[in-house]
Amino acid sequence: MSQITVGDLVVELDEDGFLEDHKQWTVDVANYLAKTEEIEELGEEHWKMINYLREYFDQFGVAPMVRKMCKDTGFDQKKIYELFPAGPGKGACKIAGLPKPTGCV
Amino acid sequence: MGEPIRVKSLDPTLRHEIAGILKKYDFSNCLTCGMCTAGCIYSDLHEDQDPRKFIRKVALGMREEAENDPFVWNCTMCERCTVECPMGVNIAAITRAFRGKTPVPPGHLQVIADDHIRTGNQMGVEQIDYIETLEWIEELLQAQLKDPSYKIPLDKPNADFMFCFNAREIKHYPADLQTILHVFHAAKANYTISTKRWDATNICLFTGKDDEFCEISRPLFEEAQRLNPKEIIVTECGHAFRSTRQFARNYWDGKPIPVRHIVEIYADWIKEGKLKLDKTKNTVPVTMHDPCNTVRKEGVYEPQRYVIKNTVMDYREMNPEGKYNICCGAGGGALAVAATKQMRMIKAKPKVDQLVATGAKIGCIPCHNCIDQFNDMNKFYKLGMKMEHLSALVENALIEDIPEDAPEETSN
Repeated sequence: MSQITVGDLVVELDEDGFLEDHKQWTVDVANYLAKTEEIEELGEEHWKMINYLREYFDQFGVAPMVRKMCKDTGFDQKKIYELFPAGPGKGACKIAGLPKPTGCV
Repeated sequence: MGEPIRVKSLDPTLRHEIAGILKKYDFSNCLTCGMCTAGCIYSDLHEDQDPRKFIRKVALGMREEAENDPFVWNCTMCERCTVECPMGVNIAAITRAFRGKTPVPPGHLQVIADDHIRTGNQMGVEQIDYIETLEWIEELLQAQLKDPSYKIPLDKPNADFMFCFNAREIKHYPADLQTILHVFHAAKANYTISTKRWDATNICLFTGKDDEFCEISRPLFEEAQRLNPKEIIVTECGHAFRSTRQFARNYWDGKPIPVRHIVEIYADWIKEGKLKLDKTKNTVPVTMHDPCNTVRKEGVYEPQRYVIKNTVMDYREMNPEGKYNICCGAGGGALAVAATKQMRMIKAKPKVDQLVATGAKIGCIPCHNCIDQFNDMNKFYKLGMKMEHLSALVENALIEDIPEDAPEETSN
């Protein structure tokens, strides 16, 4: 477990850099996490994906299948990797504050 | 100096108990020579990583010390120590036996086993999501191949092989599965994928719980019996391959069915001229990792070399390689335990040195578990390399006829 300080907020991350508690997520936390994932600045398209992932997770309690991400955002997989170099699960979901996915990933 | 050994507190039943779990496997021939510790590449890198100390505790009957030894979960079960052992003592098997005695394994490990037993795959992918993802991959391939009639052969009886993979290829990396199915198509493979049982992984290879191990793998074999393929081919995932083979060897009592690794069938196809490759399409220098489960433990060594030498122009071997290879540092299920991250990056260092010494720009990592560790080390040690599965390099080298005047490939 490690802690990061974003503004006045102290946020706990697991060793893989995922939020321990997704409710601690803020826009500033997302900007901070983006830097750790080799993204200079979050643009409009990044936010489209991040907001989609947060809404989906709030509703269903899990990350969406990649198929759903693509259909619902209109991005293809290549585009997702351009936006989030670590990919949908380890990049986009991490910045959106979702917990580390279970399984061999 | 450490504490003296208190003879009165020793429990001679421990050794027999462990031998019992291991089906009477006798490790009492250990000479205490310490070659295991010399072979363990990590024994000098951090605390609580000394196989010799561990096996002495077991042999002497230091029950409490052995059961609570952090070594049990620190060990990546890579069997590098066993290669050096003059008596062939399998330390990883003893490690696994102790893991099986732990009530709740760390991190996500038990969640993965529970999800697999409950849903039939380790990531809890629901049936509708599985089918819809396959349909989607089919659509993507129809566009890529410019062939609207392309179909993924589902539940086809009596095929040459049933392809089994890792839930992550459905849940997180469908592009990887698309790549593999593209190669199958190019080779005109006569295969099938089951709509019911398809996840060949079995995390109990690492948790040591044999009952759950069987509960997870048996339905896959029952499905194979129903579809009656000539063999099972397992994706580029060392633990899925090893656990599927191990179940076939030790537990399956139905009709025998061979289990092979995907790199073996790629090698066959290249030899038979079914898979035509142009290696000038891959000019960047490539090195390749030998996943412990595939290479050291299951002995698959030549096929992936035959494939890669026909796939890339500039192949560079790591040193050491083959059965003497150095583990990626994340074996034994370590990736499913977030708390191991720091230790994983310490363990990665010898691998990093090997990679850098080759001067290669691409690391071919034919294992889903290993490739995550390589991507982490690439970032942590700022290597600036690219990590790829073998299938991706093969796909890039494919020679195939795709009509040029057909409609443009659609995105997504």
